[in-house]
Amino acid sequence: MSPSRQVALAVLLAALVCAVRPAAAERPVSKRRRAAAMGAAVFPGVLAHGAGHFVLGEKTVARRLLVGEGIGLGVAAAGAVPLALTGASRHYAAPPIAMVVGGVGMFALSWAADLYGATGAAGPRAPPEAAPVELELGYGYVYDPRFDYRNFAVTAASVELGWFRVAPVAWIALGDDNQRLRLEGAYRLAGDGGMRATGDASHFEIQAAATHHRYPDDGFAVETLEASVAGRLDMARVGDSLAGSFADLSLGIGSELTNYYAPGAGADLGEMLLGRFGYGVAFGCPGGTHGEASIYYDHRRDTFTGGISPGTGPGSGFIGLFGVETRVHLGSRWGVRARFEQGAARVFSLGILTRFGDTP
Amino acid sequence: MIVRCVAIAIAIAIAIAACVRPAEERTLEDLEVGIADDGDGLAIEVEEGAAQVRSIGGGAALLWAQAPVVRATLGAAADTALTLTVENCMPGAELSALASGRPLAVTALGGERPTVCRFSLELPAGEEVALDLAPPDAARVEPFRFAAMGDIQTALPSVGDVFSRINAEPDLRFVISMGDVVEDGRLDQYELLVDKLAELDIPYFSTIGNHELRANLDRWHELFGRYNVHFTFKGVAFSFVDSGNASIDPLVYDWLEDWLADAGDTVHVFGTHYPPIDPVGARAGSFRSRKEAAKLLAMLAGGGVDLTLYGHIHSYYAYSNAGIPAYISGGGGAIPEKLDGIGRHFLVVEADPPGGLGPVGVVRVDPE
Repeated sequence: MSPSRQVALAVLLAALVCAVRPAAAERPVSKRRRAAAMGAAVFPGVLAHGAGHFVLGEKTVARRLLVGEGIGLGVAAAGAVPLALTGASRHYAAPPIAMVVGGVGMFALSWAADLYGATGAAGPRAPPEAAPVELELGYGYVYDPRFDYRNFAVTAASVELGWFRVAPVAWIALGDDNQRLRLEGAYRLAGDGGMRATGDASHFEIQAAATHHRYPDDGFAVETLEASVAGRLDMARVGDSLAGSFADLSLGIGSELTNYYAPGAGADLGEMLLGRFGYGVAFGCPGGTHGEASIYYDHRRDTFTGGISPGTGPGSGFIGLFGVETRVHLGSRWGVRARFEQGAARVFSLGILTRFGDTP
Repeated sequence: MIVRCVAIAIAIAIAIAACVRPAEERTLEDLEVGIADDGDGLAIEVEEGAAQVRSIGGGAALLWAQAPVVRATLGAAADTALTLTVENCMPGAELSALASGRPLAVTALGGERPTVCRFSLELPAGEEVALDLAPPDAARVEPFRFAAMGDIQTALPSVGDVFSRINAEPDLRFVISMGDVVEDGRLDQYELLVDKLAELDIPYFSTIGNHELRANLDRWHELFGRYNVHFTFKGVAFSFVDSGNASIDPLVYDWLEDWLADAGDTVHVFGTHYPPIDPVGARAGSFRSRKEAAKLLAMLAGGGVDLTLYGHIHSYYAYSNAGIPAYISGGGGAIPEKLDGIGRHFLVVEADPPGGLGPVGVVRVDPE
């Protein structure tokens, strides 16, 4: 990632952080020190994660973030070295690439945590809890100059069945013949949600999804099956200065069957590596206006968004998409969700949420 | 407060966003290839940008051919004795010239190597002269052979080994390259590339890869011309398009649509740098959008393409995509994929128009 993009990401995170109310500080921090901490979190924090917390005197958190960075770099290097040595050999590419994605994720998340904590935005907030039933109706806009579609009707639902969650999603093009239908399922292995309310946003679950995506005007349709393990860490577990924020990380695999409509073209079957990491903040209080916002990287390139332009660096052809997402609940029933993703295309969606049943 | 912050976040996200049409500028440059004048009444326009005009003036024009057949129109304000030199031309190519429908006398001056064609002719003042440079058998539909390769990059100093092996292969008419001919686009690399290409006895027609994008891309444009190349030779259509950003520009899709339609039932070979889909899916050394990849492959299948050639992955793969035979040949010498038992190599394709294509063979340059 270019330095300018790193700076822009840092500014983006700061913009997200400004949406949360700072908690009452247990230890007063002067404005000058706060500013120094924020500066240190940017640089040398980009190299030495935890620098912002170190300036604040939060040495335990600083050390934990530095360890997180080290683990991330170590895992990424452990993946990159065999990739380099084998020239990304067809026989051994997948596990090392998964390690690179996961390691880079760890690296990015520990830096994001330092940036967040340095702003002093921590507070006893938790992300919105899942409702037994949530429905969404919205609008999606896809700008990809290689395809004719632009406007979509978006409908989604999420139903909690104990430890299980089922979530159908449909994107139906308006003015073009294109439909994406997806059914996601998840089983929560540990953490908040389902029948448990632990007061901690951390959780760990296995996820699976099936997707059917039709492109009749372009002569093909794609079916996808995938499975992932995904976790969310409530960053209050790392330190009080990180309360009100969370880190997401998931890894998985998928299989994609592309059916071509041209006579004799048949179908192509391929696999793909799935990886996603994101950092988010919660804001507001349940019962009133509250919600969460996050920024994320998703390694997949099979959605409307695709991957970003590889540019000219060593990541040519291997990079996924970046996105920001927020959901705001106005009380217990109504809310809105907005998401923007940038990859090969720009994808924006905005939906109205309504929830039924009591949250746990 | 929340709305404002989300708006700021989205605005910044857009600011950091990568471009959705990163190749737009250079695609438009393709339209300017082959058009030049000396500011003193001597002008040339090469059809379809099939050759880049490296220099024109002083009674001479120097072109670099990007296709086996080059057609152009020339005009001179005054009677002009012109020496026309075309590098990267087909060995034995002949030049014909027509001024207002009547043939002009052309003298073949020969070249210092097989891929340099030099001619002299007298341009009459104020008349449009149509030039046609082609080997004598260009229009004859019959079997022929060509080579394909990609990904030289850091191995440029030793690519002479590959070129020597190509020269030793009998009856090859030209080399098709899937890009990544230089490592990072430095001037000295292009100078070395030009020197190395001079070792080849047949022309080398190439699109670009991602490595050409690493530095001033004008160097490619000024030396070789088009990034997207299309021509027909002996009843076989060739379309080689720029996917240097792991994507194809929308304008190129429009051109490709026309090329597919024009080719009709003609045997058609398509090439580009990035494989639309990496056969090793988890590695994803492929297009940045799987949906775009599927769109391209659906288009090629619908257009009756007979063969797809790719580079980027530094090894050899033979498979099929959308029912079309596909080959990845990144054996120019760049950091190789290990444990594949391949090493430096190139492909030899037997074209057998109008019926189709014969076998595609892999020729190893290094001993096993």
